[in-house]
Amino acid sequence: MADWYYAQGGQQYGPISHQNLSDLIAQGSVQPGDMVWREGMSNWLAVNAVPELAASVPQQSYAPQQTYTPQPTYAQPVGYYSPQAGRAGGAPPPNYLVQAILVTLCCCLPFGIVSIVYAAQVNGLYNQGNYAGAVEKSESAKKWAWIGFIVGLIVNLISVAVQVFVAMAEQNGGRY
Amino acid sequence: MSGPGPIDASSHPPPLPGRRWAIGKAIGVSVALLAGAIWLILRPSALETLLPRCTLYQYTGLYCPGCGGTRAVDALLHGHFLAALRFNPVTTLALPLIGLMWARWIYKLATNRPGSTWSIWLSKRAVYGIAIFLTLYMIARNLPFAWLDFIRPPS
Repeated sequence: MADWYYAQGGQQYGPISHQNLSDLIAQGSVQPGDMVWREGMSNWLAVNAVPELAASVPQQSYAPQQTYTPQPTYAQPVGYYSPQAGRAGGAPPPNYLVQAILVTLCCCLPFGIVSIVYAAQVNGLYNQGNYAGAVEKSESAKKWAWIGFIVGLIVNLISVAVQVFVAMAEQNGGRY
Repeated sequence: MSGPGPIDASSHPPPLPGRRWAIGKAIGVSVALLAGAIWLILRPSALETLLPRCTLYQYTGLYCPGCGGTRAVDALLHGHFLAALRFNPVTTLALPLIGLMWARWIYKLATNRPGSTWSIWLSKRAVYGIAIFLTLYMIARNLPFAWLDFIRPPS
């Protein structure tokens, strides 16, 4: 059976096995409204619109787990991108390391460091075959990079506004 | 490209529903980067003070890992590599890497490659190393020893 691709936030992930995608849907990591595709389909469809996947959506109290086979975890040296591990769960989720480092460099050190620490864990979990865990760390890395970016942006905007205000006040003979 | 086919390099999924947004984002970021670069290159030197100052430095006098970064980019864009190193060695050395990531981003988007675009795959130890290095870098920049002046931006 052909592997699935799924899309979140304008980015596509996969290929990922049917079992792994079902697991992600059951956990809520992939939402019923997210788009999926596999070979043979003419276009992307929402998870809801694909009966064999919609069965895994967690709202249903009765989710038939017909043949649950635990995924083999490959004993591999952790630390590099290995295509073989991709067979276990799909292509690795983004680790947002670039954004994390950029946020760290651009004056918002603590949040950037948090993001880097999460980014560090994506790859290891992925190589251990823990795809859902890797996705979770990936989302945390993304979240903290955004928090750092937004906090940095707000603080800097306020700072610039204060500078402009002070400069204008000084031009007016130092009186406010 | 859009139709199903045998399993080979050409059997990519059809364009994503969110693809238009992703392309818009890439164009937005690229235009902003280009505009910034053009501003740094063409700006008259009389407008030196119009470069944004580091907020942390402004209020605490502390150097963050990015302090001197804008001036380093400015120097690099004008071809002054050594001056750029002087302003912020880490930013200067990281810039080509960031340029590469940007190129890969555009390439993957243009060819509709699956997979994550904004990742560098390093070992856990290496990534922790980066976090520790950046923290130590910031600390070192603020230690009151004259021999550490080479990692501090000149004021």
